[in-house]
Amino acid sequence: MDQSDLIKRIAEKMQISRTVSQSLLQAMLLELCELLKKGEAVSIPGLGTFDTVIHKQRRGFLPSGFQSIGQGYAIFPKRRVPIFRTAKSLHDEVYDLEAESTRL
Amino acid sequence: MKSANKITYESFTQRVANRAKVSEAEADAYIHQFSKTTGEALEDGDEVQLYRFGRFVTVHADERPGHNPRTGDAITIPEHMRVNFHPYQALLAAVNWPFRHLRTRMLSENKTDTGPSALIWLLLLLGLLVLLLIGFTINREIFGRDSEPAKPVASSINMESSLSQANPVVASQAPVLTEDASNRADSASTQLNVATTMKTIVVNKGDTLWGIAASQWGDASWWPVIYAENRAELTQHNPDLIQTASTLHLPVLAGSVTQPTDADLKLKTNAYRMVG
Repeated sequence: MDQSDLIKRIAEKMQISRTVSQSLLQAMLLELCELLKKGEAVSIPGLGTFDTVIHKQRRGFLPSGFQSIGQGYAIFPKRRVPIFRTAKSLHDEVYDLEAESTRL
Repeated sequence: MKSANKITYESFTQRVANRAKVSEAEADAYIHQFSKTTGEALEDGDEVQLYRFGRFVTVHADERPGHNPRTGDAITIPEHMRVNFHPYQALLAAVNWPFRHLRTRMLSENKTDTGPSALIWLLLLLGLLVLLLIGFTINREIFGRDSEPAKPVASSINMESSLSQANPVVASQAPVLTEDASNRADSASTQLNVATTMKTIVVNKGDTLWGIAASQWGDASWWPVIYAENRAELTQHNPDLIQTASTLHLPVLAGSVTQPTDADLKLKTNAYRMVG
């Protein structure tokens, strides 16, 4: 399901126009992005928490190579990445999906 | 695992409402509907893609051994499904904003250092060697051209220079001593002879130390010896400026200019050091 499908579905459920739905979704995503850029954490009820973590500088292997040097060991710099922690309710609902489908 | 800088849900809805120019209640309802719709799609095993943000997917996790974190007992975690979030490049770049200037660096073969700096060090070392070589050859050109066979050690040079500077003083004091005490050692009498035979020259207009050395000894390259001998008496300590009508003492060499002794060569070397 891509973004246009999501906008359509929410618009149908809430009985609002697709334009309003799209502008609201965009506002939400931009706001999330800006808060994560500042290093804030945001939790959305029923879905999960968006947070950031800092990965330390480390040495690792670069199989694809870097520029024209070819593959070899490299130092990867310190970086900050976004992480998503699934909410308990969604986690539990998704957990037994495979088991139920195989049982049926 | 709680984040210290987590903002409240109320302030988040307020921000979204401000941005989309709708009421807070509408924004709140929309966010709830969004999470509900996304959750339903994920429960169906579908994936949700959000443009320039990321995508939610469900992945299958195999059965694996684990531990109960409270009791430490070994348990088996059954196979299950879980939700993963893959951030897109735009979100990754935005979140990594404080460390955006840092780059990946390749390591050299020994896996401890970066590669290209070794070449720079080698070039620097080569340049230093070339400079040293140039300095050494210049040093030889100035001081060692005529006295190549006798190359004394640096410490002995210093000692000799102090001795040679002390000698004239002894020579000048020698006559007084010999007048008071008639019976003296042979060395004192030879020093007396040296002092009396020292030649004196009056500087005329247009004379140079070079010219005097050439006319008196026949070898102009010995001129610093004259300068070194008379340095104390000269008003200006500059070998290029000697005053007209001043007197210069011509030092007496142990040998001759064409066949100099070791002492003469040392005198010359020290004199060249003095004129720089």
